[in-house]
Amino acid sequence: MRPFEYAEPVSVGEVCEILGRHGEDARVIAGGNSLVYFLKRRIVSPRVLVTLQSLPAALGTADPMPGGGLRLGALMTHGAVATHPLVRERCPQLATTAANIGSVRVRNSGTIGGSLCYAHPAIDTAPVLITLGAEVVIAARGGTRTLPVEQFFSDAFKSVLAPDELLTEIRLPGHGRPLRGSYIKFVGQKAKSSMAIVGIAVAIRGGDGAPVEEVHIVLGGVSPTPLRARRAEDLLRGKRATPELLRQVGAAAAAGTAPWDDPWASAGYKRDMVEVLSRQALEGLTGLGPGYQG
Amino acid sequence: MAARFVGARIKRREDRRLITGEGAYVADLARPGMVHAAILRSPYARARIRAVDLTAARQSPGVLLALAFEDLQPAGPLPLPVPHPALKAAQEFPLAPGMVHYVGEPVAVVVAEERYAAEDALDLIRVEYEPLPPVVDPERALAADAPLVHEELGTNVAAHLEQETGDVERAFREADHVFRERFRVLRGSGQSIEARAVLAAYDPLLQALTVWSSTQTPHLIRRGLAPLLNLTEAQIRIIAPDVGGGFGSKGVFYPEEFLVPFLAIRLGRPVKWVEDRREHLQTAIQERGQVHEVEVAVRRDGRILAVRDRFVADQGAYTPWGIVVPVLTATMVPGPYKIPNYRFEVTVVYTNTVPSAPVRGAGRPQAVFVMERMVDRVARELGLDPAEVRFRNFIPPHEFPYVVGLRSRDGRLQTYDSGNYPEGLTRALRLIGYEEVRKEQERLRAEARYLGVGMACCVEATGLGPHEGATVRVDPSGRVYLYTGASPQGQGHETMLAQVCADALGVELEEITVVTGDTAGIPQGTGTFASRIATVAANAVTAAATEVRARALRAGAYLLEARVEDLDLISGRVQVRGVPEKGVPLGQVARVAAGAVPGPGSPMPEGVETSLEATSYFTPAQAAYASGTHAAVVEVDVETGMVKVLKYGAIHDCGRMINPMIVEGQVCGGVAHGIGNALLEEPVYDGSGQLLTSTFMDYLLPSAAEVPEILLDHVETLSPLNPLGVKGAGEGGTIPAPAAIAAAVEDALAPFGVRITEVPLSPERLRRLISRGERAQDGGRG
Repeated sequence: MRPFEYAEPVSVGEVCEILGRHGEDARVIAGGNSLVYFLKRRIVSPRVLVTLQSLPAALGTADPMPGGGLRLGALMTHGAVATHPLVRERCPQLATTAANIGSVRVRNSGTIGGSLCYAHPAIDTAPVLITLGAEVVIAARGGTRTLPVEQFFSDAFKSVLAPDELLTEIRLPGHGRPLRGSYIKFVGQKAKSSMAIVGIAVAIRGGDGAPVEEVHIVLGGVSPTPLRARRAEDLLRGKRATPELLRQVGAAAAAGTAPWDDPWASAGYKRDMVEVLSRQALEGLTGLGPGYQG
Repeated sequence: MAARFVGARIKRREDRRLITGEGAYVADLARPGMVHAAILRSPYARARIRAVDLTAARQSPGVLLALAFEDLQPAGPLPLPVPHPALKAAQEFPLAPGMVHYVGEPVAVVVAEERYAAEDALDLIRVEYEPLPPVVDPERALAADAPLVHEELGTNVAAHLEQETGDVERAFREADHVFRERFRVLRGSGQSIEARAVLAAYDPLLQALTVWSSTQTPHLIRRGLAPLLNLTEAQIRIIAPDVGGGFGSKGVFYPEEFLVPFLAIRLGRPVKWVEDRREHLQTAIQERGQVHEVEVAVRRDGRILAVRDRFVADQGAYTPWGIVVPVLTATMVPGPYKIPNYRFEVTVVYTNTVPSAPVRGAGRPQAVFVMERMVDRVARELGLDPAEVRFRNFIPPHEFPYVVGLRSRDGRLQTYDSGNYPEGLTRALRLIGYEEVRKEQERLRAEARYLGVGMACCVEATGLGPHEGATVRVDPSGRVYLYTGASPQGQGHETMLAQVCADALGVELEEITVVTGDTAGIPQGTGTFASRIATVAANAVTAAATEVRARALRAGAYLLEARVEDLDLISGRVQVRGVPEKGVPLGQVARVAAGAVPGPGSPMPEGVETSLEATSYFTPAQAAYASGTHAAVVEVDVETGMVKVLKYGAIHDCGRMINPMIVEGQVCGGVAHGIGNALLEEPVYDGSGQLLTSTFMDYLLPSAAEVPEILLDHVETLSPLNPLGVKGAGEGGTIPAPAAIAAAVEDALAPFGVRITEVPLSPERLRRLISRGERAQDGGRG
């Protein structure tokens, strides 16, 4: 790790100002779970490290929004997301997802915003957020902008944030009738605290004995950024689920992926797991099977 | 005297210190004026070094020294502590001399005021490499056109060994059945929580070098270092402070063991080097990689008449522990079975990968995998229960000492001292409820759920020589100091050796301070490896403490004006038998022995030897053979290939247990390591010899969540080879685990005709085997 300056701004405006001044030479640190590793490995060597620990408390809280929606401060830790009563009530699949990120230590320091900005291809929260139509709020020197989470990622480990921008908030829309959803974090033989090999977020409206009115399938770990399985969604939307149809949906989800080989899982295995697990997830939500029994 | 402490479940005295963060590891230590080293490592598996330009690195801020091979002269080669007549050894140097042989081999070293400054300077070193095609696969290394790892040797074969007992050819001719199989065991490693670290300080006034090293073998480091630095052993003190795990990977004289002291002398300042995890994954020794072609000859009742095993062992780039691993594998294949005819042929080959040397288990997990998989094969082919085939082939308990018919690793006739293998298997099956599990398996198969049971038995040579020693000294305060060359890495030596000492001497446990890992504490030592401490060091402690007790009684006789025969030493007091109030505390006795009573100028009292202390070395004539039996119950998810270990039973026989709680800890830790070998751990090299698993995100270890509860039981067959009757316990947990898990998985997948011939078993490999099985079945129906 190389020496750096350490800035501790107290407002979002001040953060953006510092970031604007130093451009690529500055890096923001929240929980530090990924950045500190990058610093040690010298993958990044910023001249200025900007801590967010003295920003207003609202950046670390969850609040209700009109119509049953939710706003989550970007500095909420995974542990806070997992245990917050409002999240558990309005968005249980996000709470469960957060509860299975990393280890206790990671959950107590890692933040939901930090993890989105890290933009790991196998990030757990993003696929869930995308199935729920979530948005991010981004602050810059000139003001703020809002963007669907689906459009936040530009490549593996890259987001659309400009050098002077800061992710401040995640917004979950209200739904007339809530989407029923689940997230499967498949780590294979890796330790339970590892990043997913593949992640499968599914959310549907209807489907319990009736046709599936709305379906969202978003995959992690099988393309540089979270991947929406549109062909699979199209196959299922408006139809009544059957075992055979769900098999086809699983196959379609897998067909659209572009995974890569890792030492512990080849591209082919990841694709196979998308096929098996997206089918199992949908079986669980439509009452055709027990769901993933990991 | 009756044992009060030996055999008792006593909590480890070192744990409070270690668990509360009070331990002191090399990384925690600092010396005035200390500077830091960082090492430039080869990015190529095989390349010629055309030039190393250190100019820019030497000018980098804070840099004190930057050296490549030429700057070390004269230095090296590194010691080869375990020679073998069959071994064609390649010389290994602290920094690569003109060629690199594996990714991670040290090429240059930088010392700077701060670690980051040293690392900055590494980036400025210009090395001109001429990359050459490497050889990564051990079988490929034998091809006529394979690149040579060490051109000067003219071959990739490091050694070729053959041995035979009985008449193998005849047994194969006469057998009812012959089964043949090919097995691959992939590499694994030892991942201690603390990586390696060395701190060295040279005092020019005293002309003395002190080295703090995270090593398993302080005395061996001293032995290796003295000639390299042109110092006497008396000028060198090696201290292994608290060491956070070893598992074999700290039992080697690595380049850094030389480089750091060399740099400290050269600079006249203390130098510290702390390995990071990537370096540990990249450069710490590994083990296990072997490919076996094995045949067994059997009678129709399941009796194994003969085994023929030909295998290739992957040695990696160098031979820091000679060829002990393949020799251990070869000689332990027969294991607990009475096999009158056995022949092995092993070819040890160099590859452009990290050197191989013993990692917990040391060649035996491979031997057990090969033999146990074949026993399961015999059971399947003959339609017998796998347990029954084992019972039919075990060496019967009344046939000990049992002569296997081979020369073992130490050159002696391999003779098992004691054991009761049928009892081990009976208890292991009872632990997991074998009969009930079989019924459950039947029931679940109807629901398309796949449960399997597997078992594996092992014999392990433990307590190897040449020696380990102990000095027991009673301080005039009455406190007992116990010094040993057996340095711990978390095994609990401080507690276990104190228990032995307390009983033999006749003092309370709390009265004893155990000092380990310091060459200044005792003249000679060997080190902690090969499951040897409870056997070799503990028996040395018994001998030394017994001698001190005799001396204390003689000095006590003078003080109490009593006959030695009438005295006893109990709870730290020498007292007249039957008259406990007539006695003196041990400290007072020590003062007499020190010459403090009657005092300077007076003659020593008659019959009192100077200094209440004794040093004793235990030198085992041969190995004490421990044994173990494991039984595993697993469920395999045939859609994902995931294996869940539902139940795990481990029986261990290490003779008399000095502290059953410590033995159980060793067994459980060993099983975790074995489960890692069976299901997770695999250093993956690509075709160019690049290590693809250089973080814990890629090199998979079992975490607490992946290790099942381990059901334990013990068989205690005392070893007749040492006074305590003990055998080693450190590795027996690991050795049978891969075989037991593989057997359970194969059993679970019997409906798919899956055969497990390779570990580790990744879910992906399993899924491939399952779908191949499904296709075969579909084909069969079609």
